[in-house]
Amino acid sequence: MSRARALAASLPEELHLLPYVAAYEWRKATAFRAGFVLNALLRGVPRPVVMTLVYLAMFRSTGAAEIRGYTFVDLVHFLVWTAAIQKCIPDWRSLDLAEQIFDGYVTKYLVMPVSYFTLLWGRFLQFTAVQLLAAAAFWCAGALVLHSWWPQPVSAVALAQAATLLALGTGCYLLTYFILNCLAFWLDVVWSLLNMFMFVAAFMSGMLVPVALMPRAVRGVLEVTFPYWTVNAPVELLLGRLGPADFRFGLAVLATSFVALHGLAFVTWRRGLRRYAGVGT
Amino acid sequence: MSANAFVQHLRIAGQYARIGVIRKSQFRVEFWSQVVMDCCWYASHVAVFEVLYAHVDDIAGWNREQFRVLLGFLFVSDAFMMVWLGQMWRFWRDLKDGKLDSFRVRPGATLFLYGFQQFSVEGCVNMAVAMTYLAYGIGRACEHVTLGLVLVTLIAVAVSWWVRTILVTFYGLVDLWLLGSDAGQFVNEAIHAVADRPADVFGARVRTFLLYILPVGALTQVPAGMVLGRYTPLGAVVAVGWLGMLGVGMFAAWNRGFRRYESAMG
Amino acid sequence: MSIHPSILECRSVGKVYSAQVRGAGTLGILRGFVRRQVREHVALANIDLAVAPGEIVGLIGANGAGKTTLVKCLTGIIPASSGRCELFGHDAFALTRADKRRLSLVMGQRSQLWWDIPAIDSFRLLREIYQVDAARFERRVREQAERLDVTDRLQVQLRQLSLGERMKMEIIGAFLHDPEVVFLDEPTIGLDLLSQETIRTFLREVNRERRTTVILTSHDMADIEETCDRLVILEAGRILFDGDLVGLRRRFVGRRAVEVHLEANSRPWSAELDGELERFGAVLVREAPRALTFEVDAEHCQPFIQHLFDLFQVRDLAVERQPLENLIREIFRTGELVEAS
Repeated sequence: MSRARALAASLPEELHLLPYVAAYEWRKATAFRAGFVLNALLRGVPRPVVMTLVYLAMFRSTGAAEIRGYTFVDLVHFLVWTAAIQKCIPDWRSLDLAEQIFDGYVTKYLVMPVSYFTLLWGRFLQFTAVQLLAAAAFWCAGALVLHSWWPQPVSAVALAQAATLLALGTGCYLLTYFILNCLAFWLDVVWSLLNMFMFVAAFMSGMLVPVALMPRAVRGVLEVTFPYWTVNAPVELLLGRLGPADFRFGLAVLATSFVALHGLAFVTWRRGLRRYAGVGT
Repeated sequence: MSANAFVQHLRIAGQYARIGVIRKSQFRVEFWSQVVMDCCWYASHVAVFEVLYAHVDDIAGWNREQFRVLLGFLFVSDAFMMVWLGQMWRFWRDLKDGKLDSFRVRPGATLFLYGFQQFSVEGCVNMAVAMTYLAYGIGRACEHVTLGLVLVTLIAVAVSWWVRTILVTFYGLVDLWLLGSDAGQFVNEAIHAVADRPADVFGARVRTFLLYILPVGALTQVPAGMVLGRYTPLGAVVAVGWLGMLGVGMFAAWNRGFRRYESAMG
Repeated sequence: MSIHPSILECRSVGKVYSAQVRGAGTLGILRGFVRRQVREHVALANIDLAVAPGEIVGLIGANGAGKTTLVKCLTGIIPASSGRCELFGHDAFALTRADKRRLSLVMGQRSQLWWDIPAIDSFRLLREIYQVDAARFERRVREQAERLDVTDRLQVQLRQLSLGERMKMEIIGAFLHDPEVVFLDEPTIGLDLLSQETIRTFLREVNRERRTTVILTSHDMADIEETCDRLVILEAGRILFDGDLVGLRRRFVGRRAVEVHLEANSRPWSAELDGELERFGAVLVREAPRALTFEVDAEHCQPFIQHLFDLFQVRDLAVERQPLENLIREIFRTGELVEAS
């Protein structure tokens, strides 16, 4: 109880620090301009470009007008939205905590009068703010160049619903990466676990291929997981293929996942610190 | 490279392998997690294209059976990367941290001494999985498995490894030129996005570029094409010879690019 | 001037690094992203240096003086921005593999052996890289491990060794192929006195037995005094002094360092006592709460000491010929460029 009270008391201070942490992270992220431009702006674009050509080849091959209710244009729109959304999702390189644990650098955070979670959410804030801008720039550039081909949100409500799901979903991604990074307290290596999650999540989220094209049983499973509601579902909301009832269900799935992951992250961090030796290479 | 230098580098590779085995015998979790990680990667690729082929019979002139051969070469070349070239994933960071100093003063090819130092035993397991998938794909795609086909397959595997080395050198080169930019990671993403689909989905000019200039498509389509009889013998020899020269040129460019290495200021 | 041909040579070598400078405030960050401000940092300027085979040269200077950059230019890790660096008569940045077999580099702050495996396994790899034959390899490892007193640690993972043991392993690795030139960048940093002494002795012996040329950078004057014949002092990328240690001492041979430890009830040092020093031509070089160090000409030493007893309650007193550390401090203080001796 007293710990909860202490946490509540320090909250204003932590919130005050948040923008400073975000500014610090921005400086780090933009230290190498070419890398920033390539990774922030162009990241996630090559795959949709290539997949567009793959879908084109598929439609040419079958001669059909649509595949499981998707026309070629629908699939291209799906890819465009996926590319924009993917920019906002943290990847395993967004967090270098595991390396800091291995190298003993976490010590510096432990002696700071600020919770590590403030630093974590500061980084998230910076990442999301920049990536949202990058996603918006990507969408605007496409809309200017390919006006009639470029997808528009079906409605402002759908856009708001998609943004809500995306915000919660990206938080879930970050927490999952955080938990996996924390396993460095126990394991000698975690990068393979992070990659493993990335591969599996990419498939589950519909980033690689729309979930609607997958077999019905697979779809049923994916619809109760947060990757699906972070990418595929917001895209389908923007395309007008999902409605308010789906949004409410997705919101529940994501909120539950977020709370559960946050709790798990907190426990993993606390337990891990007990094992932390503070030394490394 | 003289015969003596070649043998020396083979012996060094042998020592790297020995060190890799010693290291990995100490870290069992790392061993298994990397095996599972790569299997997840294979599974996600297979799943995507099984989903796509559930709706069509043919993508850009590649049917499901032929596509498995293409994927098989992707996995085999990726496993080669895991076995020998894992250190190159960290190249951008080591470059920034000035960790190439010691390789620079050693009497050997810097790219080889640095890039091949992280031999991965688990990569060998993944190589076995990848080879099995490739053999399965070839078995399904080709009616008769002859000695000639086996020989061509072995050459094609060597080609996919060679092209992988060229591409890894290329994104190391990008990092060297855009020093500390982390740009190599993006190039890697772009390379993978292109390599795991047939280059035939692109228009003729782009396809030629991707097969023979920046040979991303050659990672899979050239070796798969050799095995599936899409090349005449002469065409295959010319393609392989060209890719060989391209690699030599890329390594030379890498050595020149090294002039930009600043180590860490000190 | 050396009668031997130089094994390494720098002619008007300069090295310039570019460093990005960020503007102040949020606007500065954004402006810096669009239009980078780059400041050039001169790490080396107009360095002329020639080292003969078999010399042990100590390279000293403050942090950022350019010691490590000079070593990196000389070993061909980085190219010089101007001038020419030559090693074995060839451009240092374009050394052949045969040339590289003749040199070695040890970096005190960065391990070159493999972290997760025993040192002996790293040595086996180095054996292949440097093409050392098996019998010679075994003999060298055994001899050097005995000299450095780490024979029983060869089979232990590097990560499980102490800092001193690790550095000794680095040195064994560096000398395995019997190099003609060895560059050691702060090899004794962070080591205990015993390990430092062992390493210095080892370097002296190897130099004597094999005429190995050694270029040693260090912040520890004991390394330089006990190991080197010749000293090069760098400051802000320039050579401030290049000459032999004997010559340097000779410049200050007539000076003595007088260290006085004061009783608790003694008067402390104060500026008004400056006049007392002038009478003897003495200079206060170091002041601590209860200890003072003066420099004075040898001929005035005795009366000066007597006067010190009049001025202070002296608990202890020591007179030494000028220690190297003071000489170097003097060179830095005057900023005087000293002719090579």
